[in-house]
Amino acid sequence: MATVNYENKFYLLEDGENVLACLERHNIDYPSSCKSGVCQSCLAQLTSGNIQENWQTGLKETYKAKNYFLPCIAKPTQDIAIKQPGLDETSFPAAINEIIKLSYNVVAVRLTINDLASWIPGQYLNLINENGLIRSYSIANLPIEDGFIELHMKLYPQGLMSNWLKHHAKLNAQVQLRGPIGECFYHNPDKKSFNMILAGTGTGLAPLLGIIRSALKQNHSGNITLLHGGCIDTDLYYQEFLRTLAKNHKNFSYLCCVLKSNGNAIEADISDELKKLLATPENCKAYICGPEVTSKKLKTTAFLAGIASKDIFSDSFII
Amino acid sequence: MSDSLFNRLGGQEAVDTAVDIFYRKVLSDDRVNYFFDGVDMDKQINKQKGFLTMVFGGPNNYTGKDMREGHKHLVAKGLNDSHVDAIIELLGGTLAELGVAESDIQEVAAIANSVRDDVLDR
Repeated sequence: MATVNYENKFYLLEDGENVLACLERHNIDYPSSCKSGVCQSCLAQLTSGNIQENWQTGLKETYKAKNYFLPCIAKPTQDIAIKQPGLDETSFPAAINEIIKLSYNVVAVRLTINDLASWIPGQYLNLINENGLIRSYSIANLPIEDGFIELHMKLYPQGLMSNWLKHHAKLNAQVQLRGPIGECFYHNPDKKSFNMILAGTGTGLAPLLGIIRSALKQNHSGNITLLHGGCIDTDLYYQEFLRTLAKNHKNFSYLCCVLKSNGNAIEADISDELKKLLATPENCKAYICGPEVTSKKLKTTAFLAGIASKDIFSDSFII
Repeated sequence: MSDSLFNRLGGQEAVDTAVDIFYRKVLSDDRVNYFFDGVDMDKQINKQKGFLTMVFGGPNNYTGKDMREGHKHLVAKGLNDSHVDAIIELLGGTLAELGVAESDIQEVAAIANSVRDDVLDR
């Protein structure tokens, strides 16, 4: 039986158990979020023992070199010792500059930070609050251009970060940012011309907004079509901005749909709408964001419509 | 090595080309597509690349045990010979579409067939 040494105490791993699950079983409050090896919220550093390559899936090289790994996917068979990475080694201080209500359950949080250039629109970052709570959010704007980083947070009644934001976060409150992470962003150094279809539901709009603004800023040649979906009319947000953007850019169009409408939006399943849009997908790349179940479905829809798997970019939210 | 099946088919590049055509066929075929409900495409594409590399006779890390473990949950859902037949048929259709010679298609089918008992856990 292998043990995990954390903060000078030893915890016995059960057969096939991952490190995070073991700590939680022993009532240790270790930061985590997706528990699937994606969000990197539970990032840990191995201080003794042997690291296995698959524990470091998706980590950047500098992290790998320092023996950082993801406890939620690490299943050691030999004793290890771990510690939480120091904030000053992995994260950057930022301050809450503004909180703006976007809809009944979504707020925009604007953060100021010294180095704006490292935060790529569409990628996601981990926000760490003063209590050490960590959650992942996508970069929804052009940080360099705007002078701040904008994140869209869905407010959950029982959500820890939601409640912190609602009741405790003050303007200028200090937070830490770690990242950015993810595969879903605009990358076109050769200035190639192609059509872009972006589809997502809820706050899946955030990364898509970042990608769209990024593409437009770089004078993307080719059509850019955004399809934003929700359950009800009020799930659609940022509409005025998007309509204005469509007015000012001939190659950008904004479409939306909801499952149950009061008459203010098209009533349709986003997957069916995407299928219609992709009736003849020529020279097209797809960007898919949002909750995991919807993303999976939309990715498959795009793929079956004929978009090559390498041209489908996606980071799903795992809640 | 120049005349190995894998090289004749076009190596890794052929795998990358074939995987989209093959997986699209699989997802569009009602005989087998329900086994892929709720599956993540990115992960699945990678697995399919591994599978194609193996049946093309290329370098792969699959073991019989992997095949057995990886399909046990599907066997529990009713995976049987008819589904393996369907997959081999779709594989053949993919290769035919890419202009692969019938004799090479037969060779690929034979390799795919060789893991049948592992896949069906018997």
